[in-house]
Amino acid sequence: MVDLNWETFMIILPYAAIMAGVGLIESLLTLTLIDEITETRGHGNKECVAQGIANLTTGFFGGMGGCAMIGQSLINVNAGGRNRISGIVASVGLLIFILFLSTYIEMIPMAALVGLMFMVAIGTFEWASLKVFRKVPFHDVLVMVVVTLVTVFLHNLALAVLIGVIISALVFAWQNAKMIRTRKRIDENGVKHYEVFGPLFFASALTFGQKFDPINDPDEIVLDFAESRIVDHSGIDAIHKVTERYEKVGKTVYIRHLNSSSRVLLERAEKIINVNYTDDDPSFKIVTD
Amino acid sequence: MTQMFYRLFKPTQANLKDEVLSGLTVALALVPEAVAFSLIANVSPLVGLYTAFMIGLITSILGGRPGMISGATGAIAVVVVALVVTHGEEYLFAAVVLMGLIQILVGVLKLGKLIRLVPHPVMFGFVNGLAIVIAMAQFDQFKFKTPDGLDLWMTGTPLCLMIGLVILTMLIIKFLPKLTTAIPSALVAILVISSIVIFGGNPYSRRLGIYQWRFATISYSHG
Repeated sequence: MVDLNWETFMIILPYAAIMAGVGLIESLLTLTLIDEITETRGHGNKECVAQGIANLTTGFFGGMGGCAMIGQSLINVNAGGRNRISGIVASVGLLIFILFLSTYIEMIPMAALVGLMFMVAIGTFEWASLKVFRKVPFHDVLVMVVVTLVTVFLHNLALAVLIGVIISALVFAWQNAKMIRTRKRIDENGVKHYEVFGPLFFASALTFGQKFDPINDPDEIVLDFAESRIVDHSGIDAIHKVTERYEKVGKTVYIRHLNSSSRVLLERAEKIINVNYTDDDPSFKIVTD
Repeated sequence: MTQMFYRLFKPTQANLKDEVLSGLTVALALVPEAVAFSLIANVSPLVGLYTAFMIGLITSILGGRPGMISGATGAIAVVVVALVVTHGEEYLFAAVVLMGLIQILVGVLKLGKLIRLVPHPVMFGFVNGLAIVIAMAQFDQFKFKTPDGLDLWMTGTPLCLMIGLVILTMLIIKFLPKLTTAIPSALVAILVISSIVIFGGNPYSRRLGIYQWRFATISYSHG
């Protein structure tokens, strides 16, 4: 056994984390795939625990760690194996082969294994992903290529997935940023209404701020959030800044039609921000989701 | 719950036959893959085989998805090779224990659904990268070591024989399932190529055996 000390722990931790992540990703993907084929439903978290117990045990016995095998699972399900019995028979059968045939296993030529692994690689490659190159948005193709390259050159599958998820999330945020719009109207009392559409969050906060004109606007304006919501701290800050800009020129900003989650956000931040509410229309109802 | 438990372990007669036959097919198909993934991870083939046995058995009994097969996989092998090469097998076994603990934690905290947040393009990139890494790892087998310890590419007859046998293996795996699916095509391919090499007496062919793995002496104490 290795010495169990801090140094050892720091050496194995990154590998263990990556292995755990990759193992669970592949296992849960396989689980979803089999769910789809058999039209039944597996239990993801139970599978995570089982994978963990299995790896913990093999680790103590000097094993290399593993996870669900997409290819083997498909063979099993297509051959009619739907219950636990098939898996138990497969593993016990494998043990018997190891115990009685290991001298023959030694004689396998390398060429045969290389051929097999090339077929595994060809089977693993998602050829359909090449066909969709021109049919999906460019950023999706970019994410796919980046993840592939990181995997190939850094051999770090977990980092590759993480980078991919981050790029996808940023692209999503950026696209949503463009979705914020305001419609302006001035009512019979000379109050200017800004009706906001789309979520107000870190990516859309800047665009939101650029839509106002404190110098030329009337003394009172109303921000109508019926079709919008405040998502995060940047959103709160954006409203705070707009209120301040109008206050500097002696004008007042009122907010109305906030949904309950946005209102909670603003109330919690009450001490650090400066906003005014106005009464909602009696007819206005917040749609709760 | 108990009824479900009962149903899982007591399938009907017809199902039982399917279950056993299907299980045996998988067992046969597991052997070559477990060996090949061990080579990628740079550990003895027996490590991969015993890993496949233990993980397969435990996840079959405790897992959340009956019918799913787990074992030693390429994805894990690709990750661990760096640890094995730089620090040694003992560190790998400790890392696997920690990996298990992390996975149990994820399951207990019910974080499994986070995995489903991974977008499709990321998944595609992930499996494509994995496939490329597995394929690239195979090219090492086309090299040989000189007595001076240099790695050189094979040339001439040995190279042609190697390529020929590799292509023959691939053709058998690809086209045999069109004739019969009773036996795993990977196993047939391995048996055919082994017979050709053993009985044809190919003097250049390399076997798994020449790697001098400690087959009989694999110790679980790793002292």
